[in-house]
Amino acid sequence: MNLIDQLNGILADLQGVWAESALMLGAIAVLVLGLARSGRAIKALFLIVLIFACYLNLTNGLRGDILSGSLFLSVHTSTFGILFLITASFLLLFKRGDKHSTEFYFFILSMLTGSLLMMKANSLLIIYLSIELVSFSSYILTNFSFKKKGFEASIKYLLFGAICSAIMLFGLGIIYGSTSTFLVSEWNSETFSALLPQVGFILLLVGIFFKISIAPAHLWVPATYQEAPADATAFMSIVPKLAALVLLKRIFEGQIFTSNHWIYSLVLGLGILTIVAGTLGAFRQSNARRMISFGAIAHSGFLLPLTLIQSTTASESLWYYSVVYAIMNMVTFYLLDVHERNGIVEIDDYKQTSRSVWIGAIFSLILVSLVGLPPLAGFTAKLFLFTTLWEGYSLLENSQMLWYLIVAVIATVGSLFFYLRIPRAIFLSQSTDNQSINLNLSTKILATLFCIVLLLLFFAPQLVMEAQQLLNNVHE
Amino acid sequence: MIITVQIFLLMMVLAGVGIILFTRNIVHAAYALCLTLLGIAGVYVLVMSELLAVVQIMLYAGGVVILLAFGVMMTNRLRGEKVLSGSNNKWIGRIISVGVFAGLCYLISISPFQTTSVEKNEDQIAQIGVSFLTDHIVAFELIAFVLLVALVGAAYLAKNAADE
Amino acid sequence: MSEQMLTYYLYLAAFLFASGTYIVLTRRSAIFVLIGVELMLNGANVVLASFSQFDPAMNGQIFAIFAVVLTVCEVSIALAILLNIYRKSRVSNLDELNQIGNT
Repeated sequence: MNLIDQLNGILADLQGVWAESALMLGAIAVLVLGLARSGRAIKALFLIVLIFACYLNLTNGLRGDILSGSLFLSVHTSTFGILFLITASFLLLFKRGDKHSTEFYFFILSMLTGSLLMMKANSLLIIYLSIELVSFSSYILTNFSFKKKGFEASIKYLLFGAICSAIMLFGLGIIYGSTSTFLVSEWNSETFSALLPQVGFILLLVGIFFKISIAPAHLWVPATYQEAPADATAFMSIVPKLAALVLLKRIFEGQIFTSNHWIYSLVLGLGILTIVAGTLGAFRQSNARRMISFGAIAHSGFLLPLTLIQSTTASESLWYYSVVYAIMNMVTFYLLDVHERNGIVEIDDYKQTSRSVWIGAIFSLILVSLVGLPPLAGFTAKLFLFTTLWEGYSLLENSQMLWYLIVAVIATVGSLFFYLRIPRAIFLSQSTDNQSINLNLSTKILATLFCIVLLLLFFAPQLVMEAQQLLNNVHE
Repeated sequence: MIITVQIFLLMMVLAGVGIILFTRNIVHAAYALCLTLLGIAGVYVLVMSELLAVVQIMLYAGGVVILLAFGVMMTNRLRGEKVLSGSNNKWIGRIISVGVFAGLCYLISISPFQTTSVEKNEDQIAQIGVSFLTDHIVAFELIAFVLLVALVGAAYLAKNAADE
Repeated sequence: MSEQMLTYYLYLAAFLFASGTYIVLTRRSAIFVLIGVELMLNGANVVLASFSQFDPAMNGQIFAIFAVVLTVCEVSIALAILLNIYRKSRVSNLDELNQIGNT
């Protein structure tokens, strides 16, 4: 193939990366605008960039391998892309002073770019680069409180991440050596028949699991989520995690392992370990944000099997769970941020807030949704998960799926006891020194709206599935 | 002839890694790392990756080691004391690393590798340059952006440390 | 290049990786841990480069070049954060950084 043909091929495929290009250029524009303006102008530009990227993502009709196999576009990459862009736009709801705002939105946009590319990656090179881009932005955002504890959390995060990426790079080298290809789409059931490439694959999983926060690569989560600014944490806990899950789903879609392969069992075992570690860890916490972060670890464990089972139910459950998880986590961190601004950080501090009944009730409902109780969307998400696991057990005859199901059910019941510590502190305390916390009307309206959405998705779960169909077909 | 070069490079790498493993002084470790990296650059030439060898010398041996040395001087040296680093979990570390080494060696020794030699390309750098802008265009643009992110991030963090 | 020679280079890579693991696990200074990470990454790059000679497209070498560039970025961010830590608290060892719990 001569050079002209190659360049024409690239030009034809560029449509598939317009959204990412727009985000990169938008990030640079934010940086340039930050020299002259701050505050509102930056936020407006951020929103414009997101809307424009959303438009480009929706109108893109390309599917399959593009750009000489670097990227792979599918239904999931386009719909999850929209989900990520909408999630990013919710960051504008958080209260953020003018200081550091330019750089904050710059790094959010770069993390978003990295997540979109990570999800679409087909070449191991792109997987490695995009995971690093997401990691670098997260390391820097963890500092943005500019306090000693923030620096401490971020250096620990960075060293942990650097070690994981070094391990992953070694694995990529081994896979390259034994398969002489970098393309995920060229893998098949024969690729990983020998022991050496299998070890390489495990090392590759270390890097991906670091982003999803699967045990034992979850150790960075509590400190980072506790010390990063609340809006950055909300973003970090949703977008990179879901992007890495979509990537993992794409890797396992190639049927490279049968369901009784030892790697398959190992991944399932680590998922169970993650649920246990997240749930048990949350019990011991006294800080509200740390408790929620352990809850987020447990949620990674719940989401993991949905990427391993290849069925329509599993895909739909993953999409539904992801949407609901994004909404729940966004509003949880929003409410935590509102309370932290009033000096309420520890769980016990919530005893002082018993006067603001309305916001307390909304917060309790959101936490009930995180547990997975009706009548909220968190319940439906868990129900879909349990159905998928049961289906996996009966179809694949894999008894580990049954164990996964049992552990997931027990952990769901167990999570009731730690999530509901906050509502208990709000409503059942006899505290007398009630300080009235300072909440404006817009906070109440916003939280209520989110709550109504969660209720709506419980009563009409098909809306989420229809939205997926709709988003996927807009370009036609 | 080539065996002499191989042994020389091996000694270089082993000496460097040996010093890093046994010294407690961070400055010594940084310079030993420089020695190791130069030795590895030689290894890259032997496996016919000339461009990588040049990048290794310029970016790694030149850049990273100087960064590390600056890091040591600007941080620990502020207090004017010797820059020593203690160790902990020595035995766990030894067991795990020896286990990793033995495991990897075992895997390498049992695995067959395809070693069909390809014709050596005379114009390697030109070919890599073309493939940066054709096959690896996404990666190339992406790493340009990663460099920008790292630059802005490092500068911004350092600036705010100076402010507060 | 024979297969025998290739395995020697891979043993060297495994040695670098294992030494890096030891440094990372035992040393208390953050800069020392970074040096260990460099060793691990170099082990990985040796693997990539030594397989690259059998690939007409030289993908392994290209990958290794990208990896080197990323490492430089990583080190520069790490040192910026370390600088902030020293300015705030004059602490040099990782286990003295214990303001936030680990579990």
